[in-house]
Amino acid sequence: MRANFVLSGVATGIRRNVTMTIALVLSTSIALAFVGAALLANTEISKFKKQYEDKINVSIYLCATQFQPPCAQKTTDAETAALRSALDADPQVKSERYISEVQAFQLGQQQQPDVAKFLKVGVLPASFTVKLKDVQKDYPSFADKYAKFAGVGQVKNQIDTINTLLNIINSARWFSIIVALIVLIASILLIANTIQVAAAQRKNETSIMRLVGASRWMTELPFMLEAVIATAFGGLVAVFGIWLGKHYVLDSVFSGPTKRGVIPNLTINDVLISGGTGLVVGVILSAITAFATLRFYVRL
Amino acid sequence: MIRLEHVFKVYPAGARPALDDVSLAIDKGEFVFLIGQSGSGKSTVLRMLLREELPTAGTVIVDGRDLGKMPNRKVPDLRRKIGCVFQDFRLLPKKNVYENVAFALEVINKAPKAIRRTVPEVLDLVGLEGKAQRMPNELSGGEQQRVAIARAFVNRPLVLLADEPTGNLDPDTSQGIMSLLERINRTGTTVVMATHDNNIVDAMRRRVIELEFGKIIRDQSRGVYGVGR
Repeated sequence: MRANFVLSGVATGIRRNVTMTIALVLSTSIALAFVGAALLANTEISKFKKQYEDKINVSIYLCATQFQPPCAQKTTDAETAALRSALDADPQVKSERYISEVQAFQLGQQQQPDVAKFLKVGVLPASFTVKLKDVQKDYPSFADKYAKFAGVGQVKNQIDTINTLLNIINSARWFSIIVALIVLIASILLIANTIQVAAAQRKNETSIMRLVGASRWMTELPFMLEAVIATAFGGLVAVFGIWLGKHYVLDSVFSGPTKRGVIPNLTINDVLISGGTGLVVGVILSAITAFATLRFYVRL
Repeated sequence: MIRLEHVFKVYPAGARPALDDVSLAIDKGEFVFLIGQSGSGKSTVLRMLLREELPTAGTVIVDGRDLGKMPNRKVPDLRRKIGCVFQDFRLLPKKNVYENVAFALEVINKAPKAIRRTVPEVLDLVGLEGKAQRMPNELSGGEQQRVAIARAFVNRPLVLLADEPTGNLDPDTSQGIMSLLERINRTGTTVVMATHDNNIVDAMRRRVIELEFGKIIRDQSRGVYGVGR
């Protein structure tokens, strides 16, 4: 197949149909930007989970010297020992670490220097910092069991805070997926429409091609390539859009948390992989749509 | 070369068959006129030979191949052996004479060198030497039809189908076109021409197949347009 002949046909087609081509580029760029955003949100969720799952601890606070409800009295040494034994024997527990009242006082002075002058030994309770094997699955039953243990003041974890952030990102991911699907459907219909219009405009040429014995591929390929090229352009615009979004959201709005490592940052590689995947998906979809339109709706 | 055996063609909305038990045979190198009133079935026969239409019943054989049994992917091969000329010329308005003729070779993947050699030869044959760079709107009707014939013949087809090629031309120009078609026929190309032009048919005295309401009512080896004219 003569590449020059096909490519000149593609160029002619794009020139003749420039407004529809631009519309196609724009709609596919929006669709593929949302596809890429959904993939990027997925990457962020995976990084987030990986970063935090290891670090999520459960804290079992004992009753302090200056005890408050629900504590009725300070936790005794026997109760502390019994709790430690129970934790060591618990199959849900990966590891545990005891923090005494003195250590809690010292940690409190370091972490909250503003209120250090009001702290003294006995205000902050001793605690066990526990790492569970599957905090997401086991925490509810664990908390329920140990909240009732003798000498335990309260059981807390950081997972609620993490889950809130994860839910926000997950919601963003689903929003992107839904919008991507809607705009992708619109893009597919626009591709089909563009091809039908282009075929109608070039009816003379294609009828002569058919009559002189051009193969089906020779006749169809320029139309397919027009759709694929427009989609590829849209995909490149989408990659830029995703990078812009990542730069604005993570690097500007959330620059503090990302710099402190609270929210994992995404690299340019992540952007390229997500955007690139969207581009490839878009190009394949457009080729399939063009092929199906030409075979079933357009007589060339 | 061409055989139609008991061919019927019925269109869904048609009150009567477009072709009604048509059987004919055309040998290689023949020059055949298909005549008849509008709606008699002439164009339907030509479309069948091009496999633009399939018969409702019967067999259409071109160059030894049953078109009804031919898979779609083989149809382009068939059409490379058939040239077509139409009443409305069907040139590409944004391409010049050379490009219009070359187009027929480009789309079937001929090498650029072969195209550069063949197109000028064919333009000379049809009497358009020196006009390769003209655009279709700069040509007369007769010249445009010559371009169309050049495009139809450039690939040296076995069969040339002409659907009222002189329909838009004056008598003198029509005569020129018919001389050209005769010259092409002398090279061995079978020519099947649908026409209303009784002057041409009478002047050339070639085989005449007359159709009426989809049936062949006359098949005469050296015929005239109307019996008894």
